[in-house]
Amino acid sequence: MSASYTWVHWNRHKKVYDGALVGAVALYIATFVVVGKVAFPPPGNLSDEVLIVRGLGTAAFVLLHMVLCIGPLARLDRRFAALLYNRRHMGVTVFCLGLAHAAVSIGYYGGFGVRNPLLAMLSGYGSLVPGEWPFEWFGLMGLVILFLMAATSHDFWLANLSAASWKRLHLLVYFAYAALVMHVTLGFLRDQSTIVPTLLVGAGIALVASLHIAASVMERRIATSQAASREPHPQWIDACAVDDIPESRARVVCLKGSERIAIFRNGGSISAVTNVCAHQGGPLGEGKIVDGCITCPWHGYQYRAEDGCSPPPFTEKIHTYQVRVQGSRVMLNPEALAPGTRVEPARVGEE
Amino acid sequence: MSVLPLILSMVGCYLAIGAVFALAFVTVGVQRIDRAAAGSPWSFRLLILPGAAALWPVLLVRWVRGLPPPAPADPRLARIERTRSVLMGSGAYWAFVLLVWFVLVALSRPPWGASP
Repeated sequence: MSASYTWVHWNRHKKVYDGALVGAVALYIATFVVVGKVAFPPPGNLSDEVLIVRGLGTAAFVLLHMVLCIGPLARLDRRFAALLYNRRHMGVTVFCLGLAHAAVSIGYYGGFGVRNPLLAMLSGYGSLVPGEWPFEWFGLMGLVILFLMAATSHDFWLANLSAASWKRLHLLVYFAYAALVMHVTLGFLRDQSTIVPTLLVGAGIALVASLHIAASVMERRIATSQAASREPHPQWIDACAVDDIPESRARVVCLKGSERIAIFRNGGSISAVTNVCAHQGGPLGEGKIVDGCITCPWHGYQYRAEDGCSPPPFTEKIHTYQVRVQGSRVMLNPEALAPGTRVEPARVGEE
Repeated sequence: MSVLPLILSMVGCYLAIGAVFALAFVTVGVQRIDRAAAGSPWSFRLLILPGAAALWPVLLVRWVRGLPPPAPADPRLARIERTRSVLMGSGAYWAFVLLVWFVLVALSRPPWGASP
């Protein structure tokens, strides 16, 4: 949140997360090199440099799959939200691994400075002939996107590029993924005599695809069930039953052609805010109330339910909505109020 | 391939200008465009240095014009997130991606079992 900037707002969770991440990556690369040396003894052995290049590359590729899977997984099962919280560090790690992979491979195949390494790499090490696939270009494309994402991952950029521009820039991760799949397919997979690595890459794509589709189906199910009985722009609409809203959590309603609205229950109070977090567009309605504040499940941004303002010293604001309780039903005015507008919460049991 | 060294030189020039700009920006410019950065530690300034070198034209315009940060509540955010959700949740989209990938695999390599 944007009160003042520091390089990382460290807390215990982030330290554990980053420690586990670095440890797992180091263990993976070490295991990859050792197994590679054992599995391919001389004379057909792979050099240390090649094993390191492949270890770094596969670590980055596997980690990128995890980065892409965490979002939909967290929507399907709240237990994965803990992984989502610090996902940007995982993304920066993907870039660092990719950069190390590129540096070692360009140095190794370019004779460590005998030629301009970048020029040698982009011109196919002198063997660019018709029919050859320029897989290095796709790798470079993916790496440039990952660099831009890593370099702008701090909240300073979110505040200064505008949330929409920042979001668009970071959605390029899907282009980076496509470019890196091409890089792996046209490079590494092309040289493999067994079908196993190709099947693994295919399974990775299928996993990313199926999780995104499953998360979207779940989201659509909520939206259609709520939108079916709505008139276009009524003053007050019957949003849900009071008992539909779990304690300290929300019921998300979706209006035709409008944004989603999260109706929160906090003890005997009902409040409604937009479902979109001002930080990165996270689904507030999938979060919960912590210390009296609505807490985004993505990065823990907090807003007071009654006015949509982040608690001081933070300055973020979101749209609020008027609600009232009629009997056992929650009535909602779908007209969004200006971000930060105070609305008296409706009381359960009072009309 | 003669155009390649030219492109690389241009990219190098862009990044060289960016590096000089970024040093000035993290030293004196950052607190001019964002008051939350005033008094921020050197570790934060070091962290935004690569981004400042890469995106220097955007920051230069903000700095020269003295523009404040954009409003935190961005109405476009909801639309972008919904578009992402619809596209990435589309079975047709992913089926197309997998089809393209299968074709690439088939075209780019010799049959399995044959020496590559």
